[in-house]
Amino acid sequence: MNELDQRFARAREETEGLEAPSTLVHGILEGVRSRASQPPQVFSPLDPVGERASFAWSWVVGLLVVVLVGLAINVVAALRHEARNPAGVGVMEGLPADLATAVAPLPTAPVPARAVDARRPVAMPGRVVVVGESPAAPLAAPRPVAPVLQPKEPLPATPPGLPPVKTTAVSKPPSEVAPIEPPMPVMQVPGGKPELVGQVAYPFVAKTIDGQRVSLRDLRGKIVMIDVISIGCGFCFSELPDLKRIAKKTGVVIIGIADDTEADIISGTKRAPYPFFLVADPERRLLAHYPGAGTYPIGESRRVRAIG
Amino acid sequence: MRQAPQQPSSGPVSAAELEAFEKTVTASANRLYRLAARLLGSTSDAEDVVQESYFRAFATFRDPTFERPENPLPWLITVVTRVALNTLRERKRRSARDTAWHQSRLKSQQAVEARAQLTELSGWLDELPEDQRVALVLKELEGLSTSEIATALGCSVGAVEQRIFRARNALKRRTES
Repeated sequence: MNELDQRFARAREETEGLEAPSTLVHGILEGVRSRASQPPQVFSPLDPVGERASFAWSWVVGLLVVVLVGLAINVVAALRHEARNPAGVGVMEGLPADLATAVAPLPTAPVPARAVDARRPVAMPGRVVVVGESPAAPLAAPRPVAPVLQPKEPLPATPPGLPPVKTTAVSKPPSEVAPIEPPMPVMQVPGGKPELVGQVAYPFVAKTIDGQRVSLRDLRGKIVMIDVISIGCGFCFSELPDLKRIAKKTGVVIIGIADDTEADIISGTKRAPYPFFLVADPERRLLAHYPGAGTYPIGESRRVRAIG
Repeated sequence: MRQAPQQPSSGPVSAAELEAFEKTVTASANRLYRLAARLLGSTSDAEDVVQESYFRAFATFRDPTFERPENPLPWLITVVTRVALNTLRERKRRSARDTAWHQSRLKSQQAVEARAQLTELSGWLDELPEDQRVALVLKELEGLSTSEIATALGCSVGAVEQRIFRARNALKRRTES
């Protein structure tokens, strides 16, 4: 027998004579009798008293809280999305909040029925330079020539072909939003919206004729120029050499938006290729936000700097 | 056709039932008290544990869904063991200890050396993990079989053997050092 077993044996021996004190037994019997006269504790999961019941309830309540919190988060997110994009206007998802709220949903201009051949656009609101063989479309003044665009205040003859910005133009302060970049002089383009100058440009994402994806957001940090054109518009295409020079010199990204169908554009640009991004917008969904003929330079701050 | 099992009344316990339980208490009190004292190494803790165990046992005894055992002693031993285990765990957290078993109940003629040895053993048991301590005490002092211990602790026989083995090893190292 080793020492450990000896110690155990001694401990066993010493504790063998232990007896429960009579006070203890009496206390237990008293307690049992008093408990016997009380109704027994019934444990039920629906009984909010007992131990087990409270355990079950804590689980149920905990799960409910988790579900409700998740629902609340979803509802708040949905409401915020709704507030940001009320009419379902094609604002890009994931837009920064300031930009998204700055873009007021412009009412889409009703598109006049195009009775005439699409290749020969008729005069319609928002398009100044309509050139074609169509006798119905009177030859309007070419864009760069300022005096024609400002009939009230005719200027001495300006050599045509100059960039419109260089010509004298009526300076108009921005109406609403204080622009970060000082707005440039606004050309009075019939159909154009001078109040757009200084506003945040409508952010869009579109597919070009070549199948490329072009979005203002991806072009952040670059100067972008929206060039509103139409196939069959000779002046639009006569600007191309100048635009090419500008693009080469300054790195401006030019996005052409034409109000023709894709097929028309493809066949039309076979003769006169358009060297920049070109987006077909036959339903004038984008053009509703860039109305008028001409170009919209958009600065690095994503605001329209001028209309020319 | 089988008869539906008779449900005990959910109201106050009948006099006969109460008398039966009281008999059980008086018959088993000494045994359970000794068991608790050995498990806890303290007589005052043992009193608390025994009282708590009987009250719990009575609550279960009244439960209509409880199948009453013919011999209540093993069942009561299980109850006491588990209550004692809880008390041991709580005591370890409090790290409080009052009366040791040997100090209150040892016979007066007990040798001083034996007393010191028991104190030492008690201290060693205190340092063991509660599971191991309870298994070892049930085996060495109560003389229960491993299967009885397994029932009382609600674990497998293998687990009981392992606990006892580890506890013995730890104590052996103490006696050798």
